[in-house]
Order: sequence, then C-alpha cells, then structure tokens
Amino acid sequence: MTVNLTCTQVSALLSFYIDDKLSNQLKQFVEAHLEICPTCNAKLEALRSMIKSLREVHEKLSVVKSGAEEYAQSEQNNDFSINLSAYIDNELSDEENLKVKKYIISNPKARQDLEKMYKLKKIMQNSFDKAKNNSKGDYSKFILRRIDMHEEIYGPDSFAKVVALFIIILTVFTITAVIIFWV
Amino acid sequence: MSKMFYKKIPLEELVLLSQKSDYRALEELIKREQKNIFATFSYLSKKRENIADLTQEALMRMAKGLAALRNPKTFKSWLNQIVTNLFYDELRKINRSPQVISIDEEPHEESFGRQIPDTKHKPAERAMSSELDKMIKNEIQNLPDHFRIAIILRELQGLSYEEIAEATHTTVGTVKSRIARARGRLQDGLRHYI
Ligand SMILES: [Zn+2]
Repeated sequence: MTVNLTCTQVSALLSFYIDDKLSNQLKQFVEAHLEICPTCNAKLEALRSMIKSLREVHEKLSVVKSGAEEYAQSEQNNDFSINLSAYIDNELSDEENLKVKKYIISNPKARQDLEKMYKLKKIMQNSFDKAKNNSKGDYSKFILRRIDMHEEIYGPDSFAKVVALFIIILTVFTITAVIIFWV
Repeated sequence: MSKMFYKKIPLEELVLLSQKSDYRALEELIKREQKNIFATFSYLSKKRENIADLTQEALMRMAKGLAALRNPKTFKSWLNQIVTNLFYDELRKINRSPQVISIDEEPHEESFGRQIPDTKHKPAERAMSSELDKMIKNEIQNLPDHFRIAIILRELQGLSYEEIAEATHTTVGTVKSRIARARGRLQDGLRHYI
C-alpha cells in the first residue's frame, strides 16, 4: 500500500533523502512521488548540485587553510631559530632580545635548541683552539725576507742609486771615448 | 730592544710600530697572527695542500698592506677581509677548473656522505675528541661556501654581523640567516655529539 505524499512533505524530506537518512518505507514513498512530480524532481537535482558545490568549496577552503597554517608555522619556526642564533651572538635589538627571552622562558623546546647552539659553539671553539696550537709553521722570516727584497729592488732609495750609478757609468764611458778619440 | 719587549706589546701598538717599518714589531705581529690564519684556512679550504700557501699569501698581503691601514683599531676585521678575499679567490680558481662548485645557497650533495659514529663501542676519550675534531672540520667544509665563511668569521674570528656583511659584500640580514642556517646544518651533522 502506498501513501501519497504532498509536494510540501517531499520537499521537507529531500535533504534527508539525499543523505540516505530515511526509513525504507518513507524512501519508497518519496521515490514514488518523485516519479510522477517533475517539480520535486527539479528541486532534488538543484539540491544535489548545491550540496556538491558546497562540498567542493569547503574542501578547497580547508586545503588552503591547512596549507597556510602549516606555512605560517614553519615560517615562524624558521624566523625563531634565526633569531635564536642571533640572540646567542648578541646581535638582536633590545626589543627582539626581550621577545626571544620571553619565548625561551615559556618554551622548553626553545630552551633545548638554545642549549644545543651553545654546545655547538663550544665544541667549535675547542676544535679551533686545537687547530691553532697544532699549526707549527713559522712564516715570519720568509715574509720579512721577501719584503726586504721587494724594498731593495723597488724602493725609492735603491732606484735613485741605480740611476746615479747609470749616470756615472755613462759619464765615465763618454769621457773615455772622448779621450780615446782625441788621442 | 729585546724580543721579550715586543712579545708584551698590545696588538694595536704592535700594528702602529709595524706601520712605521719596525721590522721586529712586524715579525712579532706575523708570529701572533700566523697560527690563527693557518687554522682559519684549515676550515675554509677544502684542499689541504693549499692551506700553507694561503696562509703565506695572507701574511704577505698583511705585511705589504699594513702601511695603508688607516685605523689600527680595525686591524682584526681588516686582516679578516684579506683572508675572506683569498677564500673567494680560491673558490674562483676551483670554479674555473672543470669541477663544479656551487656558489648558490644550496649545497651540492656530498658523495661520501656523513660518517655516523659507532656508538656501540665507546672509544677512549682522546680518540673520541680527535674523531670529533675531524667530524667538525668535515662538517664545516661541507657547508655551502657562503655559510662556511660566515660561520667561521663569527665563531672562530669573533667578527660582528656588520663586519661579516662588509667582508662578504652582503647585508646584515643575509649574514644573520646564513649563520643560523649554518648552525642548523652543523647541529644536524654533529647531532651525536651535541
Ligand atoms: Zn511534488
């Protein structure tokens, strides 16, 4: 036996029908009405496409949203670790310094990062000190010798000497030539 | 004046005397700086055989250029400018040879990769520390060139960000980020020791 539903009743049930939330019997009644009523059919289609597009928009929005959040978070972390690094180098403005300090106090993970940075600093400096002590070469004599040679060849004093010597030789040569010529 | 006298002179005065062609002052100045420069190049240069030559060249430039240094107070950053210029010269030379070196911020992947210490057998402390030294050097040398020079000028030479920016021809902001990223990489590479 079939109960004939009115258009108003079917309209009210359509969204439950789409979501498959009706009892089998009620579902059958709705379907029976839809078969004979183009108006309700059209309403069903409109409702379906509306829900579909709403879902799509929602999904897009949530993708954009979660992406943006993730990005903002990583940016923030990145900025923070850069500032933490500048903080241990004492290269922050007073305002930034205070911000980092507050963050470190309230954030155990940041404290851990800070400790690691200090530790790295320390082992690098130890390693460098060792490298300094291990270097045994003495370059001082070599450098001084080379600078000395440089001065002798190109120094203004030596240049004057060379010119004077050249003039003397030339004069002596000329005089000798003149004497030889006359004799 | 005795050698002992020169050994006790503060750096700034030593620079002033050297500028006035006091050779014994210059000799002492070279002796004071050479270990530092040698050690610095041992982290900067990827080629061990170049370290001595680079050190010698840096000291030579220092000795020759000292007369032109106006403010002896800036000696340290001036000397590091010489070291930095030599570092970039070396990179350019390597660049000209067929082997490709990255000048960009991102590193080339090293084929030999990272050595992960064997934690099962704890070696003697001494061996441990020399192993650590090798690791540190290795990690620093594997940093991208710009990161390497920045972190070395900071941690090993104690320059300010501004001085580093000037020496490497960049902005303070870039120096800040390069140093932070260098630290991040080193922490990652040396995570078993930190
Ligand atoms: Zn109807």
